[in-house]
Amino acid sequence: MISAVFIYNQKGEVLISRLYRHDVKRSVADVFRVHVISSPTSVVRSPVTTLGSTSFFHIRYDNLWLCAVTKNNSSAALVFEFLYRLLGLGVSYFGRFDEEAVKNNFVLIYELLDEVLDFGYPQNIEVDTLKLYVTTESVRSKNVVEAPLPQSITMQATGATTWRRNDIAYKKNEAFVDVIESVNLILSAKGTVLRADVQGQIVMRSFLSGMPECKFGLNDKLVLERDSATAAARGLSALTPVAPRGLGSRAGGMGGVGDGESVEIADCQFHQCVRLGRFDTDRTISFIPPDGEFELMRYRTTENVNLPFKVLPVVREMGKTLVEYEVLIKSNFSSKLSATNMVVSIPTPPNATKCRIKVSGVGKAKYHPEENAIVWRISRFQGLQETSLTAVVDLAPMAKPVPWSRPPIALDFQVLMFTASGLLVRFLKVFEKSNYQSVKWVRYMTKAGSYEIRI
Amino acid sequence: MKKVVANMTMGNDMSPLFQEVIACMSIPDLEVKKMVYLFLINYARARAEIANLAVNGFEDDVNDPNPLIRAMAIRTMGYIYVDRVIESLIDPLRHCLRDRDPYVRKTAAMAVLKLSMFDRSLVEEEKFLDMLKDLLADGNPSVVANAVAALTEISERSPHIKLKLNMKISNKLITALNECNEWGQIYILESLMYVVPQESGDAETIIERIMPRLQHGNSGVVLVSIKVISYMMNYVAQTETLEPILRKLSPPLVTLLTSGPEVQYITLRNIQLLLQRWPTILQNQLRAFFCKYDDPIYVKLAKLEVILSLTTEDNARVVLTELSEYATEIDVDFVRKAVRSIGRIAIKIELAADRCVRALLDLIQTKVNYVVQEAIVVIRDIFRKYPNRYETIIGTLCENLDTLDEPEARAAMIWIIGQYADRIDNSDVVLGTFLESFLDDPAEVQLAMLTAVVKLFIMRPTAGQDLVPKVLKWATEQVDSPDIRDRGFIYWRLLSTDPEMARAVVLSDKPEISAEGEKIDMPLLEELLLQVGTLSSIYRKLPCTFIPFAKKRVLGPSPALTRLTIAAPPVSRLPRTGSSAMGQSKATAKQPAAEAASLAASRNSSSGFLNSSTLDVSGPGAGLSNPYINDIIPGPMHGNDTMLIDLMSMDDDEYAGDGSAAINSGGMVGFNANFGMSAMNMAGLGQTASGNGGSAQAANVAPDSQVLNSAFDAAGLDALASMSSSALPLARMNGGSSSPMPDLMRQFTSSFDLTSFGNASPVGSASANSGSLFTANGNPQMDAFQQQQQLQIQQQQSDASNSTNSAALKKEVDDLAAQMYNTGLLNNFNTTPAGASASGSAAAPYVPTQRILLDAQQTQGLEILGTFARRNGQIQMEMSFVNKSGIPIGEFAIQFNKNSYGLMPGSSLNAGTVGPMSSVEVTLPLVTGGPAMPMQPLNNLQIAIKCTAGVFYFQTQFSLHILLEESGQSDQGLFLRMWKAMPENMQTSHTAHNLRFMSMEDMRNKLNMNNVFTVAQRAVGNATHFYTSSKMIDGSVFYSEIKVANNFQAAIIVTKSANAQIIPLYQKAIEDICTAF
Repeated sequence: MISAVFIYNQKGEVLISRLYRHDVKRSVADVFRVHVISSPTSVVRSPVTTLGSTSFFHIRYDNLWLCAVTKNNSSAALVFEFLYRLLGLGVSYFGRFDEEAVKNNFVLIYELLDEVLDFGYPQNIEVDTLKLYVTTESVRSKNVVEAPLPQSITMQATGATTWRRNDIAYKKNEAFVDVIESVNLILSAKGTVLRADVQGQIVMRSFLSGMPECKFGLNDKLVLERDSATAAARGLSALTPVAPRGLGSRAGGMGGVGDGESVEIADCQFHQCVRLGRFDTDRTISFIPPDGEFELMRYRTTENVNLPFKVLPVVREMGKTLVEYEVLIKSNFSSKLSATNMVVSIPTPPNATKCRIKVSGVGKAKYHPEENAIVWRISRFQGLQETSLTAVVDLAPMAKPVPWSRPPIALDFQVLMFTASGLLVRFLKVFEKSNYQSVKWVRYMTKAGSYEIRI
Repeated sequence: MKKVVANMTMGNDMSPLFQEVIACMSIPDLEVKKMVYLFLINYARARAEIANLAVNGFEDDVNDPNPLIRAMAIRTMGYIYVDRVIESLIDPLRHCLRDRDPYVRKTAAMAVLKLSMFDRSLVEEEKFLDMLKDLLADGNPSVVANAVAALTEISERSPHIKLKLNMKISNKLITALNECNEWGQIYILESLMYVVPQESGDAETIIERIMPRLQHGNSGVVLVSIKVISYMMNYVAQTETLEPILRKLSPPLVTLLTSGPEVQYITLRNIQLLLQRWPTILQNQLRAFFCKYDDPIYVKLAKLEVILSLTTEDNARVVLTELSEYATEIDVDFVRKAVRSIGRIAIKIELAADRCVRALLDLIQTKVNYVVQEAIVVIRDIFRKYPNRYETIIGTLCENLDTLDEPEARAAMIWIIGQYADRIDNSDVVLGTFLESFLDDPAEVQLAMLTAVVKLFIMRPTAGQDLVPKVLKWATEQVDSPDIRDRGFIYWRLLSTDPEMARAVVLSDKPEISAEGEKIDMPLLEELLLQVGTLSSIYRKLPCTFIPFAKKRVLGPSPALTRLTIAAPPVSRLPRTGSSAMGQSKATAKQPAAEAASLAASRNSSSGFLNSSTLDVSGPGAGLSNPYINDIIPGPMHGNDTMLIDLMSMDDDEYAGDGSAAINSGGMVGFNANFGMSAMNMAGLGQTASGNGGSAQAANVAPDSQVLNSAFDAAGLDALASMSSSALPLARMNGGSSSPMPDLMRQFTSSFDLTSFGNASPVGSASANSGSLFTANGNPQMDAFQQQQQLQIQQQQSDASNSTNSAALKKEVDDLAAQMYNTGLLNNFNTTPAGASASGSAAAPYVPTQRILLDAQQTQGLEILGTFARRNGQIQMEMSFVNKSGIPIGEFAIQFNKNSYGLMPGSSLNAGTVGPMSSVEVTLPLVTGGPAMPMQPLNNLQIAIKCTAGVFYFQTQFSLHILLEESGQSDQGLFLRMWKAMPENMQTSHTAHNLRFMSMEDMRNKLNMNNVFTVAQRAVGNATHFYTSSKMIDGSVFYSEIKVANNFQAAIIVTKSANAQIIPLYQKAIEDICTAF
């Protein structure tokens, strides 16, 4: 298990060092700095470095290096998950997790480290529970709790729902569900789809009192096919509170979200609050949510991906001094919707000197020499539209011609109320002892994951 | 206090403040306490004397009413490894383990682990382990999880505590899983690796119950679940159960690729391992592994490996386009690996080779230096693999000569030029330019140069005559490397004495190369799979290689251990028969098995080797269910286009003749089908073996009366008579020892008729019959034989129970009868006392039963049985050729493919002609020193037999004892020294059951006869310990301790050898020697 945790700044200075086991010395922190952080090869060749019998696992965030040290054959996935979680803890406690935050809160970080790992075994890394008893003046959790009895804390920290306190109360009970999809695409230069999939994330913000029991339904093909009739009826009745209060009625505004069609989910993963046994037997998603924001589930679909944009690039290298570009982009979703913050990055050869760019359609394009790319920004791009760009790039002659690796065109965008997978929230039901009414909101967004078009 | 902690972090020594800090302990503020504790953890070790002062404070805190403080005190004390503190920890710890509050209990569980790291014996003395075990039944899941984690690590680190969980506990633990937090789930799942399921059902239950964990959001949970599942799958009895499980494994693996890059990397490295063991997972998921432009380099490299292993003929085209794309990227390592992968695909998939070569040529045109160099290296391999196919591209290659500056690329290019010196017009000029820097080149290039120039000279003497003397002179006079000098001299001598000989040597055919090289050895793979998700799975190294205390993990022995596997999806079109053959093999399994057993037995005894009639078709492993063998099953089919291709070209003319021969003899199989069928045979053998293993395998085999008889349909009942009559001369031919044979044979046929044919329930009576024999027969030798009979009969019974077609059954029995035309067998069935035929003495060398190498069904009637023996220091292959067709078969020739120990025939095969319905016995002396290449398993042999009926390929495994030398005796002193000197990781233990000895004397003699020499022997209680040594022809020495129970029920063989990987084979050989006659 984990023998020590170090946090370094960019230069490799140790900000935090906590040893859990006697098999490592504080000086191993220097070993990692010498071998990895200040190693002459700029690119890190592996996230795990083993020197002798000591292994260093690291992740980077902002200007920090988080590093865990082990001396045994520990589960690498566990260690990385721990580091990710530690990062999340930091972000949640301090808002930003950077060198300054670490320096300002080191006592708190030590306390946290003492609590989350016991002898190198991760124990409880739930922000909500930890905030109950690991607090300082400098950071107070949002909901100030009047010192609860220690017994209730310990029950909380070891109980079956470590992620939720049982004494939460809200005047207005609300739950927000965000369906955020990232479309990943690799399109070959000839226009064939090499890989297209959707990684979805359902993020929930729950502001519900007591210990609410939630049930959540999607237009999952497996469920729908099983008992289509009953499920549909239940779905409709349950949707009524969701839809009208949500962002526009579904029938009108949700042009991009599949209507009544089911979606084949290739695989999904849940937050630990979801009862996996139930899901396995009848695919019901039931859970007691943590308070506040959390990622309820992640899913992946590979079939029937609605690609929001089609890109048709033509890039011609005219001899050694000129490259011609013609890039046509078509939007492929309902005209009632529109994409925002769209950025198309069109790579240019490193020896480009001058670009003559012409956009016919929407957006503005500019050559950014430092990125070796033409950056084309489109603040708003409506559905079923098209726009194109032509450019001529002059190249400086080079003494030793190096062929250009032609990196792919990359797209970045957001489309609200559109899901590339066609996924749809059918219902969210909340049951609580006190039987209060709750209000639920659903929002959909599709954004670019790695949307690459090779040229 | 804060300032103190701040300074501490910066590395300033704050220990002088110890006194003051300890005074703060009494401040009843949680936050201050925490900082004091932090301080103590940091400095107490260095200042042990002051740490003692803190003990009082701790003692107050562990009795604090606040559970948080109690827990914190226990936790902190555990971190301070100072005698006094630890002493005062023991009592409170005992209380805390029973504390009301679960938080305290779970912290206390961890404290036990801390304590055990400080002083292992203390934990045992104070009975903390038992208390931990009690906590496993705790009502609170976090407590259970921590207790499990503590127990797991204690057992991992302790030399004598071994964690074993039974199904009852594991069921409880799995129930607790649902309520644990994610980390607790990991600890509990990890502990399931210590469950050894005793029945297939247990393993299936566990798999089913942890399957939902694959949906967990924490990649640690997912990977550890996969580890447990892949471990448990080794205990599942039926492949049908495995398939749905494997299907469910794929999606979570792909999903893990959406996590952070670090987790992606871990996943990819593990996918590689899983893929090799379970080739069917992730089918059609290829595209998920295509690299994104901004993936970190380590993820890209790992993805490339997975892509390569997922490449099949069907998707080769997509993969190639993708790889060509990668080859234009920036990162040099990645580009090189992409280029190399293209070459690998060319070698792996023949039909894709053209496209690969084109892709490589395109890459060469880019003129990017390292791409060109890498491409040339792989093109050399392609030339090796497919000679005389792509010579047209040499011209293009030659354009890039001047850019080659890396030794490997230069050597590759020089090799190509040398190899095709006669087709490159200006090869002398080109070599000449390379020659300019000869003396500065590294040895690798010099060697290539030397050979290339000699090749040039031989092919085009006029062109080479200027270069050769120059190079030879340099090589022999000016180069320091002894290798180059030696090779120079050899060439010189060759060229000057016998140019024809030189030609034969230098231009000889090159052995094949294959793409299988980078696969991980099966035993290593099996161990690595027990480490899924851990560091060792990433490095592909066993934990003991980088962690000093790591314990070796093995698949726990259990009657349910099956090691089932699923056939790999066919890589290319030709061997596709493989999968269908596998399917059929299930149905036909019993048939060849029964034949194998009876025929092998009968053949052996008729030739006077009665002492070797155990059912040893199993070989070293366990057949279809065994990854070792299954790994090989596609072998003979690959043979079609890869491994054995040089054998196949033995004679092309004969090839056509075979086809007609096949038709003439009424055989239903064409030439191509042969390969599939012989594979089927192998599979069949395997299947029997797993039945032999004592599990209920035999019953699982689906009976199919249609297939049962395919070979003997022609012969059928009518043939029974002719068989026995044709066997008559045969028996005579086999030697004088079996003179009473004809009589007995008649007797046998009739008696068999009586016992089984005439009976209403033939099989039942047969088994009853042999059952009684079994008990009545006092000769242990015969026991072995009987068992084998019983096995067959059991198999038949299982058929009978499943099949209502009694006619087919009868026929099968007929077939059996048809083959049992032999004295030994006959005696048994007639219930005559078997003692008369007993001839085996313990002092004869061990010869395994002949097993069917080639089945008559697949070879137009030629059946070959064989075994390996070592007699008087001579390794022999003893074969029987049985001609079951209607035409004579002759002109036998045999050839061995390269194998691990360089075994090859010592003389030509002298089998003469085998007439129709007759057989001949051949003993082929074997010699070592032939071309060697590691096989998998190491004792595997691939053999080709050519005869008038065609060319047949098969493979078999020999028992390792034939490689043991007569000079293996070591003295006691040496034994003791070596035994002590060798570390534990070179040691393997193995248990053999049911030894066939009457006395220790017998056993020692038998072992000595087989070159397992006893160094010492002593009696200990109810057992006798032998200490033995053996030496193998390659110089490996084995030292063993064999503990034999005095009733010969079981023996434990513990072997140490520097060559640890072959110990299992060695032990298997000993087991066979001890259990067989």
